[in-house]
Amino acid sequence: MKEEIEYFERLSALFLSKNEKEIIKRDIEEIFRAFEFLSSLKIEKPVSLHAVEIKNVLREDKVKKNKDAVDFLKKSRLYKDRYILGPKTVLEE
Amino acid sequence: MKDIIEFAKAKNRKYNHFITIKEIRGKKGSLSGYYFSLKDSLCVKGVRTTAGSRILENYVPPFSSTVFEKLINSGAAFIGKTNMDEFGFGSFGINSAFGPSRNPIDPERVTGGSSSGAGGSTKLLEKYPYFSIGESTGGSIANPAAFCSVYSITPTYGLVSRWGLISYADSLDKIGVLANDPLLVFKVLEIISGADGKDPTCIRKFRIRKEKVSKVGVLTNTFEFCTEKIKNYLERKIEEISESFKVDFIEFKFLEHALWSYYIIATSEASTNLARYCGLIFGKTENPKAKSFLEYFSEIRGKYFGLETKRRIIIGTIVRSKGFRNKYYLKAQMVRRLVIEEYKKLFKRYDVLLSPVMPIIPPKIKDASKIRPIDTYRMDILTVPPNLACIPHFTLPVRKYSSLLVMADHFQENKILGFLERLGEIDDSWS
Repeated sequence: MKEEIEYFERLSALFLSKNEKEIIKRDIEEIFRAFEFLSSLKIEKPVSLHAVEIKNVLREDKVKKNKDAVDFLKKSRLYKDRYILGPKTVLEE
Repeated sequence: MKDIIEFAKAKNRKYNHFITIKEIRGKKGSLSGYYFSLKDSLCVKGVRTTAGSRILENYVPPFSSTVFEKLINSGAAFIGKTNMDEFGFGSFGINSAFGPSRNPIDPERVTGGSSSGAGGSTKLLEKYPYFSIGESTGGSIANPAAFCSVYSITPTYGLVSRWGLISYADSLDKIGVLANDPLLVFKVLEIISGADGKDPTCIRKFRIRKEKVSKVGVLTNTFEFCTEKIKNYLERKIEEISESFKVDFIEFKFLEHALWSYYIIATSEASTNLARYCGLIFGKTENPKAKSFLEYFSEIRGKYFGLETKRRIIIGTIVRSKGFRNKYYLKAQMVRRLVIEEYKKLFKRYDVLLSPVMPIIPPKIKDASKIRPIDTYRMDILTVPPNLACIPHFTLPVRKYSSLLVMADHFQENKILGFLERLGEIDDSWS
């Protein structure tokens, strides 16, 4: 526990005197024994971690099938082999 | 105004209820003629605000809290900042860096905490039209109100803006009122409540209105923690209440679970909130002699934080750490939800619920410092559950040091008012 207190002292960015370390070590052991009381509570069904009821204010997501890209491209009069022909941008030598 | 300031100054040498006494006159309004103080965790522009801590000893805020602005604009005159346990960490008012507050009923005894000066000064200044603003995370308003035998309300979370409040635990902090007149408590609440663009958690305005109250639930298992004397006084009061209301005697399931959940959640939030006091922007600054930033921060925090603050930071850091988070923090959050659901179930059947406030009378100051932290935490068992659920609760003094806690559902403060009116605690000509 002494090493643990020193680890959490560093993690908390706190300097504790030797005396404070002793006192806090003793108190924390007692306090965490009391915290163990929560283990006695068996929670069967899932409980929300939110203190208040959370309501979804956005619409529900609906999965829709994408339109076929080739069918879409075919509507262009410039369609050729799954692509649309564009103007030449590089001049031939 | 001079009279109350001089009286407060003269008495402060003995009772230590104020960290700073300063006079600021209010504008004209419905509270003209009243005086008020703020717990020292609430900011007032240009007035030193310490939160009871040595690390903020010289902090002078550049802005004022919304509560202060609302009260000044309503005509009340400000007289000072009241003493408190460092950052709100305490149940007796003995953890202030500026010394303990003394109980006006018996100066050898504590005032309760953490709004220790708020409770003490309300009792001490009872001959004046005075009220005090406190802040409660786990019972810091109800506790000193009970120990000093004054009225208080801790409102629903989200009713009063916390802009300008030095945080302890953001999901639990609530600003409330202490006074010697029960109706004044609600009148002041009406003024300080209301949505505030500066605090997104503040969502509603409280408006006083008549509410019929008939069904009362008494939480019998809460009386088991009390000393025989307190139990007897309060049971006699319950008998009196039974003559005017339909009273059922019921049990509240999660008392001890709520207590330890509170200490896990509150210390977790406190340990992150207090990270800002490291000697750079907030907190005392010194010439850095340390080799690294971490070393410098640790030195400053080690030097200026009190022992209870260090203890709670360490607890909060542990319960948030890998390997402990699921076991403690997440479980505590689930328990919090169960506590709220339990209250909701009870409020479907009852308008108000009753329990004692404190299980003991205020200990003597010399004895309070010898009580081990675990036992001090246990004494909060009756005030923590309503605070964890963030439901409104009112302190009704019954006898010296003994008070009843009157609880209602979220945003149902008027049911408490209706209960008090029917009980004859408030004159029915008030509205």
